[in-house]
Amino acid sequence: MFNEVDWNLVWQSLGETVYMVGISSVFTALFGIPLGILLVITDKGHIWQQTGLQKAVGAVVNFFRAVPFIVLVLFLFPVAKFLIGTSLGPTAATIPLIAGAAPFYARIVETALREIPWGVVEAARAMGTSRLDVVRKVLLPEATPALVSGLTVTCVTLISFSAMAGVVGGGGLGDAAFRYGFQSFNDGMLYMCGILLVALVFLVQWIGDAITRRLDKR
Amino acid sequence: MIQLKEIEKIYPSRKGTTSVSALTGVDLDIKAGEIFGIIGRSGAGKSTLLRLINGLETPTSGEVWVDGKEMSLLSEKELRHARTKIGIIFQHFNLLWSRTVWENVAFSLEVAGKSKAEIQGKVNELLERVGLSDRAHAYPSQLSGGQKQRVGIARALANNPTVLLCDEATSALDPETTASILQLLRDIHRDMGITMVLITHEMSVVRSICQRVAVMDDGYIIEEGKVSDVFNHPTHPATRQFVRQTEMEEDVQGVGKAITNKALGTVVRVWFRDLPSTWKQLGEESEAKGVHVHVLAGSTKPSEAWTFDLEGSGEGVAGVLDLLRETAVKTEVVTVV
Ligand SMILES: Nc1ncnc2c1ncn2[C@@H]1O[C@H](COP(=O)(O)OP(=O)(O)OP(=O)(O)O)[C@@H](O)[C@H]1O
Ligand SMILES: [Mg+2]
Repeated sequence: MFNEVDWNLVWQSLGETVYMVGISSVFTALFGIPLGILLVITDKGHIWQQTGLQKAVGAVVNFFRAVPFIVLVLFLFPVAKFLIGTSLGPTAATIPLIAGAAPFYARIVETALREIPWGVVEAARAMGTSRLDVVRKVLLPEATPALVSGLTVTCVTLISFSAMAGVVGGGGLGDAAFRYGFQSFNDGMLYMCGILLVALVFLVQWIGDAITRRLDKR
Repeated sequence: MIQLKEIEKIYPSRKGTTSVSALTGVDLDIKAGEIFGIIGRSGAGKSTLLRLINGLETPTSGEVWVDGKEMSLLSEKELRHARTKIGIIFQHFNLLWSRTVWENVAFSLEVAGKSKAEIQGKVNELLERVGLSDRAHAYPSQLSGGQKQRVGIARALANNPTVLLCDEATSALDPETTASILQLLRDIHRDMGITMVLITHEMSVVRSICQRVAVMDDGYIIEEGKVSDVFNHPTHPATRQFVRQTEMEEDVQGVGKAITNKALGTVVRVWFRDLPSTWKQLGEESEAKGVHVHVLAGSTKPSEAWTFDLEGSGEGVAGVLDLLRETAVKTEVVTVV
């Protein structure tokens, strides 16, 4: 069955998927972590209470989480075109991927930060710690294992999202499986792409778990 | 050193709750260099009072003066600086899990903006002081409760504070560890002349370390003065109850010690589930086995233990013990003759 597989195409598609997921993961963390921090510290009774801001950020995050991913892809075509110059290809696909995953990760970050015992934050404040230092030296380091395991989950989600984004012109393994596998009646191609996607998920999860275990001092 | 003037603290009502009057008409003058105890039941307002002193809470009305400064008049920056001069230790230690012992102590110096070299020297000195030099690179999860509190103390002392606040600092520790932590605090007080405010609900802690004490109940300071005066001549009913309760606890512990020489048989402490029915069975069983039951201490509260001295043959006593173990919540053999 696998003798009909176009290996060059497979490796190229794998490269595209890794590229899409890699870039999106980095930006998801870059947007998700500050959003998550904001959601927590602006909350009532926390170190920087800003009720209006908290509600606004919460609403935006919920909105993007509520929109189904495939709708988000179509919805963000013009945005991708504006930012990247095209709405096709793996780079353009990162736009909806980030828009879909960053709010998801922001909620994970929020949960991770809320798990830190309040007494620890208060102790830091009582020692004269500035708000910025509470975030930098208490909230983030204490939550790091949870942030990493959350990013692993997000990354796995991104892999499956990327397969979907691929089908509407993003490239990558999902695209290859659909066009050169399914539509071309090439079962070998279809299954090979599927196998690689699954392998990618396992690999990411395994690496994420290993890092989390190393970081967790509890 | 610390003055509280006509403090009122009301936590406003939230959805579904009425507002709470945590402190009412609190006046307090804590002198530089003294060890001042604040004792009271749960919910009396002790922690709230402590949090006013380092500005984590602001009073609804009244003034809080620490080291000549009114806390509510300080700017954000001044307040932060003032806080570095007010050390605090907690019941649950509140250490950072992600940092080693060394790094935890360094934390308070880092946030106070000290240089690397300064931090290096100071942390080592502090760890030496609390006897944890050999555990410097351990993580809090690898320490015992007493060791964690020592880290907490080192961290609290890092910026050479003039005041040390202790919020139930020994409540999570066993009696032996409590004693060693109190000894450490006493040594620190002797060496640094630091003003200490100690919150607790254990009279024994106040007795063993404090010079003056305030008794709190329901947001009021109901009694205040020298420790010996307050506890030897309590005037307020709540204080009296405190004293009585502590005496009873000490009695039971005292019994444990006294009987070691005086007991005629096996001494057990028993927490009954259903006193009347077990009592009857106990009578029958002991009679059948020829065991003499002497009551050393008793209580009408279900949560408190009875202490018995069981005198008889080894076999007979074992039979009675079996009965107790089957029917009581907990049975603890204190001594065997
Ligand atoms: N943030 C808060 N919001 C509302 N009520 C509060 C708050 N903090 C404390 N209280 C209330 O104020 C009262 C005093 O609380 P506080 O924590 O000072 O008591 P405590 O003497 O320290 O008790 P414990 O021995 O249990 O620690 C309690 O009735 C408590 O419910
Ligand atoms: Mg308290």
